[in-house]
Amino acid sequence: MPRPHRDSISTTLLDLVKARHSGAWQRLVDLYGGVVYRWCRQSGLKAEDAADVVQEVFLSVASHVAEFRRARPRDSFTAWLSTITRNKIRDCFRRQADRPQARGGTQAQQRLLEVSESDPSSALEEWPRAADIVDAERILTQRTVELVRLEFEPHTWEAWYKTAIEGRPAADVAADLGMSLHAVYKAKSRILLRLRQELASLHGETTNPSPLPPEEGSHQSPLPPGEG
Amino acid sequence: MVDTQCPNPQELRDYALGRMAESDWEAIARHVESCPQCQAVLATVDDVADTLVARLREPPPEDSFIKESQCEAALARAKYAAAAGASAAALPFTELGEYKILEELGQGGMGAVYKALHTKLDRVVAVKILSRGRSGDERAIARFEREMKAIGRLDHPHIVRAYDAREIGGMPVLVMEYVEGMDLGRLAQRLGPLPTAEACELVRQAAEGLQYVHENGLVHRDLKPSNLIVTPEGTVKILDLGLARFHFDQPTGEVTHTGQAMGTVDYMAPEQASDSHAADIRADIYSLGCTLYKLLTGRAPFETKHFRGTFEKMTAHVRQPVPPIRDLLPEIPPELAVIVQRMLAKDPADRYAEPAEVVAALTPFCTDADLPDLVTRAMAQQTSYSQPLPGLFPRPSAASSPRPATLALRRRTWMAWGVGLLMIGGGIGFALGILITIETDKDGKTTTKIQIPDQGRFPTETTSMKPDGKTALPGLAIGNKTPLEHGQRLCVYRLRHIVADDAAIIISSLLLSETPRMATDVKTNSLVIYCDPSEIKKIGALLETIDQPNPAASDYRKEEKGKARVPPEPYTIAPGDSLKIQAAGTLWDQPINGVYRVEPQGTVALGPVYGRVKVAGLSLVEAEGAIVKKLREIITKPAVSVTIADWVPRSKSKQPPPPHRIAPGDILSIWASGTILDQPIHGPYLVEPDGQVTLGPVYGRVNLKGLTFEEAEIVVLEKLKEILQKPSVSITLEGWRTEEKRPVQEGTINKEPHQPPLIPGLPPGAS
Repeated sequence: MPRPHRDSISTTLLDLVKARHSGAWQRLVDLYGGVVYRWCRQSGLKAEDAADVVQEVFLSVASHVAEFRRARPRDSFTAWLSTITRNKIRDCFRRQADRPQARGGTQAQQRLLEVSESDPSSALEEWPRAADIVDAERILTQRTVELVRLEFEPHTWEAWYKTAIEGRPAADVAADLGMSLHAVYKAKSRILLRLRQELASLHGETTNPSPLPPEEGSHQSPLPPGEG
Repeated sequence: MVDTQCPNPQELRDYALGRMAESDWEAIARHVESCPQCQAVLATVDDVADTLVARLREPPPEDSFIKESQCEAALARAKYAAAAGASAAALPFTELGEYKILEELGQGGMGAVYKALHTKLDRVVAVKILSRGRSGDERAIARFEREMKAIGRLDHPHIVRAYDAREIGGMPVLVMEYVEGMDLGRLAQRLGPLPTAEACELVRQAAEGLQYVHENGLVHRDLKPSNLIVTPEGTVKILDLGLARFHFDQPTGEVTHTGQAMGTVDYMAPEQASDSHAADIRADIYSLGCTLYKLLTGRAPFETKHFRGTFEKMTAHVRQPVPPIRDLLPEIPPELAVIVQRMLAKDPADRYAEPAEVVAALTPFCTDADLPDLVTRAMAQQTSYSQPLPGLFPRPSAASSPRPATLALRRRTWMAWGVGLLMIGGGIGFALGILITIETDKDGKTTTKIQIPDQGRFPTETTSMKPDGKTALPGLAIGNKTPLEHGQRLCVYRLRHIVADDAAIIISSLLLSETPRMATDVKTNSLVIYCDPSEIKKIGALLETIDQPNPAASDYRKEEKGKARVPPEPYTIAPGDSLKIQAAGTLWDQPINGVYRVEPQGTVALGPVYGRVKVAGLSLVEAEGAIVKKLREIITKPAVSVTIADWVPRSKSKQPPPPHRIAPGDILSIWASGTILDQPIHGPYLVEPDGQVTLGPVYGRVNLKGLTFEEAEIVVLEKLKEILQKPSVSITLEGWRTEEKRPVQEGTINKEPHQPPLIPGLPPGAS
């Protein structure tokens, strides 16, 4: 049982992570890890380097997550995460540039380097763009679906999938799966409810990192989180 | 049979799309199950317009990256990455396989060590999460597991037992016997050079353990004080067998990386510099010799300014003669100096052949050794602590694991108290620190006066404050979050001898109710105090008395020779004295340890509530007894102090109009000892819209609306008494198996608005 909450806003995944609720951290990584990895790869990092940066990003999240405070409602965790990721990617590129035998570098890498050396407010600082965040939120939704799936019996899930995703009439699905009509309705309702909860838990917590390391604290106003 | 009324069409629509509170869902589901009419209505619900359904039906963005094997590896590492991180960051998880992490024991070069509980066997163990190179090398792990098999068979009183060694969640983990005690590195750091008998006895016991290791055909390869632990009973145990090999053999280990992994080369044998694999048990004897040298003299043979870097030190082990120990400590018996010299021979052939010979050689010097006393002294000697204090008002302590407020004020000898007692004069004049006064004009312009005290003179310099509220002084980026009120002053004290967090605690305990708002700046070790101008001098004088060098940390040897710097016995405590109180445990999550001033009325304030105890006129031993009694009382009595942490501005003034009446939206800072359901009570609490404050999940709400703090304290105290005496139960639904067997939500007892975490546990096997 968590300590008495200060207010009645629903407990979110980030709250659970801060409370070090068992499994919450692993779930956070499960949810967001793929997105962070994708960002790294999109920036032009090689797979091995991307894996390293993912680890660094989550190390940073782990040591700062407790300092989160609710601030501007427009700030989303995803946007904050992208800021950390951006900084870690830049660090990684810098390290590579410092290596004597630095390899040629992709276009993206060149761009990032030039940008970071010259004007901090140009392209690199502007990443993530709105579209990147939207993409990330969509992947997160997908990932949430995959994780929620583990909580349900296969036939319940199938009934939900055929009705909610494929859009088939409940009666057909009931006949197909040999379930009662109501069981199909119930499956659809239950899983949609569960997904809404889970997505609300992701987006409900709007955070602003307060005492971040200087360079990580300066992120542009991110997009509002997707509708939960 | 339908036992309830049919839901209205909107409710049915929400049910079809799962758009409702979970608590309402069950009832409708049960109704619909037996109501054909409602089922017919459900068939007509169109889900196309629902945003969630629409979003789910969209194809997700192309993501080929997620299928890469490196992605999976990255996730596995990230899940446990924080555990092996070099920083002492709090673990972001509490379970590691079947081990429940209880608390951090330390951070070493090879990884972090945690006290943990094997949940199935109910056994307390020490779990070491080993850091490793960039990429996981399966061969290294395999070798590690193979070596650990050999080490797991070892069973000896002077060796910390290894129970389990394997990979959990992508991290190599070593599970060991949990040993209470202190490693010799810390012991030496706290006590300085040790008396001969004790130093010899510590090393003699280690050599006994090493002999057993040797007989089992193993070599430690990384013996050093921090790998030797001594229990309160005085038994020395060897730690981290087999780990050196694991680290030295890291294929990715660059020189710097290896250097970090090894931590120190102060104890490394010459032959290990060239080829660590060639090392045999005689390398361990050399390391043990360095350890003995360190314990006797306070430093390892080449731990001097002449040999700074890793490379210089390694070269010194190979080439430089060891500085003769009797040059540093003439009183060391010549025979012992010879033993040390032989252990430290450059050529392994010139050293003792096996640890048993070291045991035999040292035994004559070990008579009269009193290790339990040594450990007690070391434990009493809190040189510093690393407990971060987040300002005066603790954050909701969700992040801190519940810490039992155990009180074990150790009975110590006069010596310990003698060392612990500081006599601090009440001199006037700001001899220490820098006083910065920021004054805000009515029109919002700010001037900064920097007063640098110099022998009673106060040269004053005035600079203007930057518009962002930052001061011009480097390292003092303060005030930008909290705009200063007109007339309010900000004082910054740079402390020299005491950790700023300590100073904040002491100040708050000395000033009690008038405690000013404080923040600490770790970088500059400054204490930032927002206060009324009239208080600056008082606080400054207090800080000056607190910020004194700690003679307790000085050479213990001097006192052993009778030059003790202690007041004449029997000493009677008088107002104005400063007492250094060393006690285990915490009050309101803050360590009790610290320097306490005897107030003019002869009392010492141990805590903000019921915390005063009269000590004037008592001897030190009597005072000790009185303080123990008071601490027991504080810890067992639910004591409450309610102050305001933040408030809802109801008038233009941001100051709470005195006397403040509690209103919804206020955040109250409640200080109280004890726990509810294992969670500390103290912390900030929000006054909910109906004026209630929720102290605990069950029966825990009290209405504080319109009360003053004093009244609120009484109400809260009564409520806490009630909660603490009443066995309270709260059952909520956290997980379920199948929809048919799902328990009925109506049975939920807890009607409080505080819901359990929304994420139900995954079904078994899913994680």
